Amino acid sequence: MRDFNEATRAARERLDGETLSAAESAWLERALRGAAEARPRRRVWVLTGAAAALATVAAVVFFMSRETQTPGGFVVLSGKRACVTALADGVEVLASCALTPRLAVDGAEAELAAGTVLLREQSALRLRRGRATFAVTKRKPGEQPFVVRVSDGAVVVTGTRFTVSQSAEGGAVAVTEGTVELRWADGQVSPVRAGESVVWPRPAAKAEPMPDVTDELETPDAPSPQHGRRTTKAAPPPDANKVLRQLLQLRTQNRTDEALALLREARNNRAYTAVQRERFGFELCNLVTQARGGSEACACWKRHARDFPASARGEQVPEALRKCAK
Amino acid sequence: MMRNNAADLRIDSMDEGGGAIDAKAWVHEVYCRYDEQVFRVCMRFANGDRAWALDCTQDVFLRLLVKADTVRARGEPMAWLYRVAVNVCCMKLRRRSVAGRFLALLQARPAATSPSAETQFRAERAATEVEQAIAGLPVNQRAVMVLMHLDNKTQTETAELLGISQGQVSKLRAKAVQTLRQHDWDLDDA
Repeated sequence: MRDFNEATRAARERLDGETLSAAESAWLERALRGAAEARPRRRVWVLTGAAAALATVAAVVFFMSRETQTPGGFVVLSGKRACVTALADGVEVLASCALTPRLAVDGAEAELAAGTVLLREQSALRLRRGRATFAVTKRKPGEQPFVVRVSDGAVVVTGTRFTVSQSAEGGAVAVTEGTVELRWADGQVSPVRAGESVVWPRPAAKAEPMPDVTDELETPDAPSPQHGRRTTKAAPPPDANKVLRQLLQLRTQNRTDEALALLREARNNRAYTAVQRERFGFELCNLVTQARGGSEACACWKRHARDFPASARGEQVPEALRKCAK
Repeated sequence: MMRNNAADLRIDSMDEGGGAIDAKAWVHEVYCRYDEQVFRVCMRFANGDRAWALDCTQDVFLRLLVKADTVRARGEPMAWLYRVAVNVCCMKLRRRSVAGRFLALLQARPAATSPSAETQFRAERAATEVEQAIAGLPVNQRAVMVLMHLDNKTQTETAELLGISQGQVSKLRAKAVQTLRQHDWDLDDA
C-alpha cells in the first residue's frame, strides 16, 4: 500500500514551488492587456429595458471577436488572438505562443507556428520567418494562384495542403496533399508533389532532397513518394512519440540505464528526422547530466552541439556547455 | 512587478496620489500580485499540464476583467480569484472527455522540454503518482480531493468553494477514498 498522505505532502511541496516562467508571464499579461483594450467601458446608466438589445450586441461582438481582421486581409479564426500581433502589412505570432493560431487569407487557411512572420506583398504573401501550414482551396482555371514568397523564390499553389518554413539560413516546403510549384528566383520551376519536400538555398544548381524539418516529433501519414525523385519518405517514419512514451515509463521506474540506451539508439537512428534526432540527443544529454554528471555529461553536450549546431533549444545547450567550461 | 503572498491582502482602490484608479489598472494590479497564486491553484487540477493551467489562469483574469467593479467593491480579490479558478478548472475538466484528456497528457508530458518537465522527472515519484491517481477520479470527486488534500482546505471550506453541502463533500470524498484504496493507496476515512 502506498502512503497517500506522504505522497500528497510531496505533491503539495512541488505544486507550491510552481512559478510562471518569464515567457508564460509575458504571454498572460499580453493576453490580459489585449482583452482589456478590446473591452468597451461599461456604462452604469444603461437602462434595464435595453438588456435585450445589449444581449444581441454581446452575441454579435462574441461572434465577431472570433474572427479578428488584421491589416493585409488576415483573419484570425482560432487560437489565442493575443498571440497574433498585427503588423503594418501582415501578422507576427509571438514566440512565446503556446497554441497555433489559424488564420484565413486569400481563400486559404494558414496555421502559423510561434515566431512566424507572414506579410502581404501585393497579391502574394511573404513568409519572412517561421513555419506556416497552408490549406488552399482548389482554384478555378484562370483564377489567380495562391503564392507564398520565400527568400529564394515563390511557392505557387492551385489547391493543396503544404508547409513552408523560412529562417535566416534558408527554408523548405513540404507538401501533404496535391502539388505545388517552387519558382526559383532564377526562373527555374520545381514541381513538388505530395510526400515530397524541397529545401533552399540549393547547394548546387538543382533542388536537393532534405531531411524533414517540418514535422517535429509528429509522424504524419505521408503518401508514398512519386516519380522516384526527391523522395523524402521511402518508408513510413518510425514513431518518435512511442520512444518518448517508453522513455517516460523507464524514467518513472528509475530504469536509467535502459532509458539511456533507448535514447542513444534513437539519436543514432537515421530513420528519424534530423529534428527528432536532435530532440532525442537533447533528452539524452539531460538524462546523462542528471544520472552521471561530470565529464560524461559534458562530452554528451559537446557532441550534441557538434552534431546539431542548429539546435532549437535556445539557451539550454549553450548554458550546459558554459557549465562544462567552468 | 510587485508581489505579495498574503492571500487576504486587500487591494487599495486608490493610487499613490490618492486618486481613484480605473478598473483596468486595478485588474492589472491584481494580476501582478496574484497571477502566480492563481496559476498554482490551476496547476493543482492540471496533473502536470502547464499549458492547460496557463489557459485556466488566463480565463480567470478575463473573468475578473468582466466583473472588475463587483469584485473591487467586495475587496479581498484573492478569495474571488480562488473560487473562480476552482470553477474554471472544474468546468474545463468536465468539457474534456477522460480519454481526450489522458491522450493530451500523454502527448504533453514527454513533448515538453521546459524546466517543468525536467522538474517532474526529478520530483518524487509518489507526488506524480498521487496527482495522477487524483486526476483519474470523476471531476466532482477530483475537485474535493484536490481542495482537501492538495490545498489543505477543510470540509466546510471545500463545500463553500464548490457550492455544495458538507454532506455532499463527505460523500464525494468517501467515494474517492474507496476508488483510491482499490488502486493501492492507503488513506484515512476522516
